[in-house]
Amino acid sequence: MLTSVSREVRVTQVNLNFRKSLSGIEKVGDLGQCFQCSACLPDCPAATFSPRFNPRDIVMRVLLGLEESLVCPDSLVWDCTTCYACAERCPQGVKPVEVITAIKNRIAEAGLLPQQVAGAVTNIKETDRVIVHSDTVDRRRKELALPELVSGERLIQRILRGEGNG
Amino acid sequence: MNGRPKIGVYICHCGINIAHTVDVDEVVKFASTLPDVIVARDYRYMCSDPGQALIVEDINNMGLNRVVVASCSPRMHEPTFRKTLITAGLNPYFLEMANIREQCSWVHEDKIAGTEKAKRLVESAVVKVRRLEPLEVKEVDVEPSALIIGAGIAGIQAALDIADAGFKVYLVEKTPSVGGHMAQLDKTFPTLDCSACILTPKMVDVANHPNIELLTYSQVEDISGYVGNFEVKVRKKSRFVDVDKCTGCGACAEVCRQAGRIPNEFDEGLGMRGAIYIPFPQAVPAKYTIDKENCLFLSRGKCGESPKCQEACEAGAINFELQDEIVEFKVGTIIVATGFDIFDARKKPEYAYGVYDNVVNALEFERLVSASGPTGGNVVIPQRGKKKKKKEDEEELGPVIPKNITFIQCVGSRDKSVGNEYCSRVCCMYTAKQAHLVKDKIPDAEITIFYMDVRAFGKGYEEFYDRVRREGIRYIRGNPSEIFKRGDKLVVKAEDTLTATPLEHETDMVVLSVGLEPRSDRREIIDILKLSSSPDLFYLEAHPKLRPVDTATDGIFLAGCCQGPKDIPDAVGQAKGAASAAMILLASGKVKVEAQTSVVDEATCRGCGFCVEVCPYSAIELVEINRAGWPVMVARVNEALCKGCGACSAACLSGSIQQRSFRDTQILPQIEVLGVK
Repeated sequence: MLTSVSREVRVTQVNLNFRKSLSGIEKVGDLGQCFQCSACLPDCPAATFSPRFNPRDIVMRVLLGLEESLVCPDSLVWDCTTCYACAERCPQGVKPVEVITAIKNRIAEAGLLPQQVAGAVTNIKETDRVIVHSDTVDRRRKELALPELVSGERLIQRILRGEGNG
Repeated sequence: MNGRPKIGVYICHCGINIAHTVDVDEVVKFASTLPDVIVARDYRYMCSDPGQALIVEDINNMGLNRVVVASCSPRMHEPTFRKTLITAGLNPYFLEMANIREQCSWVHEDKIAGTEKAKRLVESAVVKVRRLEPLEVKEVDVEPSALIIGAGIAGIQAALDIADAGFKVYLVEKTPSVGGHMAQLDKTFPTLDCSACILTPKMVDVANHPNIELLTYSQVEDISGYVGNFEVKVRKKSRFVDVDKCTGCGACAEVCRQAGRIPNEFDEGLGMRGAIYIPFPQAVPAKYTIDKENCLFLSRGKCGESPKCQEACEAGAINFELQDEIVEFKVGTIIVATGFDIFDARKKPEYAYGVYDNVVNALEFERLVSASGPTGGNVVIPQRGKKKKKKEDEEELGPVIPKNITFIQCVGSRDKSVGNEYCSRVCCMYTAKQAHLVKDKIPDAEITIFYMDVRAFGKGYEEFYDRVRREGIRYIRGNPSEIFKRGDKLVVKAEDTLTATPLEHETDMVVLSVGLEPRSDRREIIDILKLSSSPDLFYLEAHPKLRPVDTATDGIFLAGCCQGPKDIPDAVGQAKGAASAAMILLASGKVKVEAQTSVVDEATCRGCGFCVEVCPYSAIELVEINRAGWPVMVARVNEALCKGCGACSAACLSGSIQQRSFRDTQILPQIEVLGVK
């Protein structure tokens, strides 16, 4: 029985298919190529501000099948800024950022999105915007001399309904 | 043809390699029903002595005149079974192999389908074997001399071995001196022998050996011919110095108007030389060379009133009229020992090599730490760039001694982002050695080595690594992502992956342990010799395990780093191997040439020349013949050059050029059995 030694994980169920299921996702590439050199971490802006966030560690957890520690409500993967610095640095072509994006999608499928993310998803679905259009937004735009916001066509809603973007 | 075909079929189990997916008994039963098959048998290992004895007995007792062996690839054991046929007095070309291992059992899991496929393959071999014709193996004489391209340690060692055995050697080196990269090194791991001390005597030996003709500052221009009989053309570049007169005194270099202005390649650009120069004091031959790109007289036609070097040379050796010379000679065999380039660290811009003076590559560091180097062996932060000769009154900035030195391993190795997937095999150990040398010279220096894995695989290597760690050198497991400057310090960003601690490591100097790469001019030799490359772009050996010094072309061998990264012991070992392989040909004096060559039917050939174009061995030419009173062009094959690749017969529109043992009449019925209509 494999268990993780990391404190916050304690005894964890190992899903040996986790790695395989992510490797099958286009763009993730061959995860098994990771040799844990950690060229991905030192340049990672997210890791600079969130000491617990570590792309090398996330890839290792995927390889070990520690799915529960990643696909969970308080998953660290949301700290990733998708800047792609890790993919640039990786000597093995693993692209940790794509692995993290794949995990984010797994979390969404499992209905475990954290509140802020779930809120943003709802906003996009309903209003086409990440930030809700409010009086405050209008006031700030006026202060900054930006053009007034007009509610245009709900393109994203049309796309989500499968009607295309035309 | 000796009467009706009497065919014996032998099915091999190859232990269980074949037997686990092919029902061998069933294939034997099937084979014995095929027309003209007199006997069909199986055996656990056909290639073994008793296996071969079975075939010999059957040929003798049953009068077999054709043999089919169904086993592995003909690349593996065709030579074995041809010898079996010769033992029994049959022409060796009455053999056909059915590959039921690589092309059947190894690639299938379903035993029923595998057995069916094995039957088809056996039947197709039986159909072909009855149509085969006897061929004659010709022998050609071997010219008792060798060409060695490249005079680094591998080329030098191979040259000395062959010359000591009594054969003539032509040793061709592109640069002005022999010695290669090894001459640039300070001490060598793990024993810390001084590189120059063990190399220089060998360099002198190649220059003085009565059997070695040393051609330095020379380049192979063209090679034609075939094993035993290669014709070589070498360009001896003009040194503009008469080497017979030059005494190597150096008076010319002292007065050269360019002295101290041109980065010396031997010192990796950290030291300076003039336009007339000797790359390093122990260079062999100890003769001066004028670099015509940088010589004012040769590049601009004017050097002050008159070239000072010419005035200074008492021997009268300098001659600006000297021209390149073309030398031609014949050799029986060739060893390619062209070496490597180091990885250009500019391809990893995050490490700021070429941006900061105190980021150096390992070969530069080797020159810094070497007593014969530009700093006399003092480890200081190098001042780069072209240096003018110092004026008397100019104040000299004291050298800066780094107190904190950091090494980064695997720069340009194990890195797909720069296209080098392989491990360069020497960097772990030379880094440990360089760290040790720093400890020796600057005892209070803090030394850190960033690594991904340490590979200390050779004899005495792990012990050396252990010793270096005991000397207080810090190993941190992590691949740094970036180097930048903060004040006058360099900052290395990395993670200590063993404790999962991100860190910013401040240091005075960074040494990049760059990997080994195929030479940038590797294509020159490929074009001349038609060598193949492995995926890493190093030259490809004929077999990774059993023919490690051979190439696909008979009579051409590989030694040293042109075949892949190697340390000195391995390069020397391979050089001795290549020399021994070459000497087998030289000592026997005869070599068998391919019998399954192409042959032209001159009555139908239209002389279109397609075959000439596709032949990779330049073995075919168009000649004029008289056909019924008319002059016509037809193709003609030089059988000594033909390797039997079959490209010509595939290209021929009229079917006039056919390859022996692979004639249309032989292979079309074979293909038909396999179900291809």
